[in-house]
Amino acid sequence: MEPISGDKLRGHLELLILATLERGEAHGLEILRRLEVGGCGLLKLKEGSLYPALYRLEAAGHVAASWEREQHGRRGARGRIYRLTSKGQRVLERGRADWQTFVITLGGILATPA
Amino acid sequence: MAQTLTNQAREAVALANEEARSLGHEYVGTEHILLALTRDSSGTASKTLAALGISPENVRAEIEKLVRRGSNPVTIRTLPLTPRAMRAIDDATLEAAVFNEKCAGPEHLLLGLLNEGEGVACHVLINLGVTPAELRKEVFRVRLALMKIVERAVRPLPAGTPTKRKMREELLAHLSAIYQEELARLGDSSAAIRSAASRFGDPAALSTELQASLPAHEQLSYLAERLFAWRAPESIVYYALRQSLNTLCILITVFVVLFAGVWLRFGWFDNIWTFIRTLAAIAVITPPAQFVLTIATIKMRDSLWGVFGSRKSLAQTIWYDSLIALIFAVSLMAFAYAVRGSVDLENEPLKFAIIAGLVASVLFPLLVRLTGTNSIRDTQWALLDIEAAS
Repeated sequence: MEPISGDKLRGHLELLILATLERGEAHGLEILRRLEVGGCGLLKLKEGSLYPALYRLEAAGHVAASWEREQHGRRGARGRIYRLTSKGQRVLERGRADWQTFVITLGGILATPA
Repeated sequence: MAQTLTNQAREAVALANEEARSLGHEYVGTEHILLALTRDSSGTASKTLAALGISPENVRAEIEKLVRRGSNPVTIRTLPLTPRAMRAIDDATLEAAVFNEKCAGPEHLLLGLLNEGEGVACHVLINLGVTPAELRKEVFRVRLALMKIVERAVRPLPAGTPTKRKMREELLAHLSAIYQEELARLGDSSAAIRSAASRFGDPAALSTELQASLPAHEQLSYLAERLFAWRAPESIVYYALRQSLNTLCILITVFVVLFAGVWLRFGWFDNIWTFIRTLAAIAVITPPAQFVLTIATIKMRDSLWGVFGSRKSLAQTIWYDSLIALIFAVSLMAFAYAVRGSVDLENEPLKFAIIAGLVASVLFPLLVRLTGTNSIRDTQWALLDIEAAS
């Protein structure tokens, strides 16, 4: 199968991020890891592109972020931890329903060869 | 002390203790910490040292040339740190704080040693043909390369510094993490930087995406900062001059409007000359005072942390603090003189001026202490040369 690259993901990335956060709060690297596992390695995304999407979600109030707590012995610059807000949860549920309708409708047409 | 060091850095200090004992020394000096860092298991400091040809063997040999090996076996388990070694460890936490890292790692410990120019560690390095400046540069090489990638995406954004700071830190944290993954996989730092950069994506494309994610009010902060904040890479004097001219323009505009309002309302009233003199005094005294205060505050920050070409010096910091107090007291006295036409040294204004000076001499250092690490970091990012090949 061809990997799904950045362009085809555009518009869906935000919903996908919300879905990964449903499993609990995470920082950027962890969100990418969940996307990779969930997409069986077929999602090809430049890692930097995750952040504009996260900032849009944050500005819209769909996710909330806080700086990583300092841990003993941890090294490196601090990252931020994102979690789903209740507003984000509602957006995710609506997005999911829309997606189901989309897949069923188009699937009905595309799935059966003439 | 222990709380401010990472596990690896604490391991290095413990290892320094063992090295000192095996050399028969009854103290842990900067040289023992250096020796421990050449054998640091995490590799962050030892790889840097090895890249410049500094190995555990030649450091140990050099220490034995400089400091005689103790004749008796050391019986004390935990040896005391020398004052220089203690200062080097304190400096390491400061070096870490400047990069928003709460815990100092082996590489910060190394930078801390380099700040102790008279310490045995620096003598050992110089005898091995490596200057502290060269080593400093090597420590920052990878970090700078990663910072430049982030800065190429963030600098063009029309956003306020706090927003940019958040993006810079978060993106750098991510890029550093994937660099570490790639380094573990590839083993070579240059290849790891290239590989991490390619996973991260093109900075210019990222910049466009980030810009689209900015809310509209960021544009306003950006414009306000263009007017009133420091613009890299202008000099401090030029910046202070620009600030005082800004203030002068604002004061004149406000005062003209205020005067016109008062004049239209009350006409040519009795005390109008005192009123005019007060406004004029404020407009004449404030800009030059602000000019000196701006420079003194920035220089105080630089000498408190020892950054941007200033030596770290408490005496210098106190000197700038006294200058700030003096400027406050003198400006207030000048103001009193301008308003009253005469000034009596045994009168209220002098007491008031002295108190204001003292309050300023407490508040300014406090403010600098609180905002210093952020402003230093912002300045370091803004000064990065992102055009040059990394």
